[in-house]
Amino acid sequence: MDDHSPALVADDLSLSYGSVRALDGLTLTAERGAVTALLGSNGAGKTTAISCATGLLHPDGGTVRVLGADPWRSSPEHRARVGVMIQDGGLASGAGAMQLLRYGASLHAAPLDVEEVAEHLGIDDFARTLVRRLSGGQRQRLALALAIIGRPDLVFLDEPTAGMDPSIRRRVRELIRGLARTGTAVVLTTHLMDDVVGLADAVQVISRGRVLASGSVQDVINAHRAADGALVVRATASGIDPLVAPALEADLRAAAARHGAELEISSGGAADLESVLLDLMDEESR
Amino acid sequence: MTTLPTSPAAAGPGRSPRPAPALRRILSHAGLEARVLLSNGEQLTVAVALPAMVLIGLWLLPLGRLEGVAAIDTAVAATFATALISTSFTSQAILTGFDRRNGVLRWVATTPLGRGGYLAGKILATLTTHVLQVIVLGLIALIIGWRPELPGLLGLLPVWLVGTVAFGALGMLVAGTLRTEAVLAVSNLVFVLMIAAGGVAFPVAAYPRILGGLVDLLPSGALGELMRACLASGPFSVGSVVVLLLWAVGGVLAVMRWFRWTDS
Repeated sequence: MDDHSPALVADDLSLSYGSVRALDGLTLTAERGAVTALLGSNGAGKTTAISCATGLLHPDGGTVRVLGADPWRSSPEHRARVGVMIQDGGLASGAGAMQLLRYGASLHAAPLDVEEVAEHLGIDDFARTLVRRLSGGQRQRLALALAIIGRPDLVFLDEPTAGMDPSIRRRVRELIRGLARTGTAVVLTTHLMDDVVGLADAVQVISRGRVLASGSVQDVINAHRAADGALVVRATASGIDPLVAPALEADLRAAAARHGAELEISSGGAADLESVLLDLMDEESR
Repeated sequence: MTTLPTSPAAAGPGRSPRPAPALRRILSHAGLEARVLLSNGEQLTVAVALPAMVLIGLWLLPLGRLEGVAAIDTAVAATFATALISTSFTSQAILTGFDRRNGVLRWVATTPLGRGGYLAGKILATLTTHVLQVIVLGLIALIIGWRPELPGLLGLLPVWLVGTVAFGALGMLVAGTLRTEAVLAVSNLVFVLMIAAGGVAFPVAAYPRILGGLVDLLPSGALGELMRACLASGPFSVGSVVVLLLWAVGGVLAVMRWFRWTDS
C-alpha cells in the first residue's frame, strides 16, 4: 500500500444490534494528513463505525481497510500504527494519570516523550491523581494522550473535546491540527460544530448508519443549499464590530427585499453547518 | 505553545510507530495490574489482612484442626488457600469487572498489548501478588511457630498453579458475564462462603457426611484438601486433584465461551 492511498476505506458497511440497524451501507474514506470529522446525532452510527474500523466490532457486511489491513485481524504491529481514544475513556480507574501514560508509552517501541506530552496537555497538573478522581475533561486529555503516545499514522478520536473547558479545547484543537499537518490521518466524531468548522478538512454527515453528505465543510453546505436548483449567492463578512452588526443586518435585509430574495443571516460557519445537519436529518426522517 | 513531534514524519527516521517487544508489553501490563491491586486498600485487605486473620484465628481457636497435626500447620494450609482465592478470584473479578465497565478491555484490544497480552499480564500480576502474599503470610506464620518441610512446599507448587487457573477463570467468568455491581456482591459473597463453608477453613472431614460430599466437589474444597495434604500431613486424595483440574479446564472453557469484553 502506497503512502498516498487513504488511511481508512470503509465500503458498504452494515451492522445490526438485534433489530436495530446501526450501520446501513456506510461508505467513507479518510485521507492521510487530514482531519476527517464524522458528524451526526446520538445513535447515528459514528461510534459503531469507529468500532468497526478499530477491530472492536465485526461488521455484518461490507469491508473496512485501515492502513491497508483488515482491523479485525490486526497484529500488534498494525495496532501500534493506530491510536484510539474511545468514547468512555478506557482508563483503568485505579491507576494514576502519569502512571497510566507511562504504561501506554511502554507498549510502543518509539513513543513520544511522556513528560513532553503531559506538559503539552496539562496532565502534569494532575499527574499523581487516580483516574477515578479525575474530572471528565481531565480524563479526556489523558485518553487523548494515550491515543497519540505511540506516534500513530492514523488516530481515531471519539468526541475528543467533550467536557473540556474552552482553553484546553483550543489547545487540543491545535494539537489535532498539528497531527494532521505532520502527516497523521485523524478521524474524529463530534457533536460540536465548532470542532468541525475549525478543524475538519473533510466532513461526513452520518444519520441512521449512512453517510448523507460528504466533502469539505463548504462543499457540504453548498451542495445542500443548491439542491433545490435555486441560485445561491454566498458572501462572507468578517471583522464586524458587534455594535455595527445590527445596522449591517438591516441594510442587507433591505437590499434583499428590493431584489425579492430571501435572506438568511448566520453569525458564523458553525451555525451554517448546524442548520445543514438538522435539515439533512429532517429530510432523512421524512 | 510548542508543537509535539507527533507523527513519524515529524520525528525523523527510525521513529516509525511499532510495538514494544511482546515480553515488555506483558511485563508492563503485569506491573500496572500488580501496582493497582496492591495500592488499593480494599484489595489489600482481601489479599493480606483477611488471610492473616484466618491464620491467627485458626492458630488460636480449636477449629479446623486435623487429629495429630499441629494447629499452625492446618492454619497455614487454610491461610494459603484463602490467599490464593482472594487474589485469583475475588480481586481479579472486581478489577476486571471495573475494567470492563470503564472500557479498559475495549481500549487494550486496540493497543499493541491486545487481548492476549492483557490476559497474560493479568495472570503474571496474580502470580506476583501470590508471591508477595506467601512472603508476608509465611513470615507471620514462621514467627508464630510454623516449621515448613521441603517436600510439602514442592508439592504445593503444582497445586497452587492449578488452583490459580481454576479460581482465576472463575473470577474472569464472574467479571465477564455480570454487571459490575453484581460482580462486587457475588465475588465477595462467594469468597466468604468458600472460606467459611466451602472446605477452606475446615477440613472436609469436619462436615456432616452429605455436606462433605458436596464440599468435596467444590473447587474450594479440593484446594483446601490439597493444601492440607501438602502442608499439614492431611489425607492426599486423587479425587481432589481431579476435581480441581476439572474446575480449571471447565473454567477456562467457560471464559472462552461466555466472557464479554464490553459492558453493552
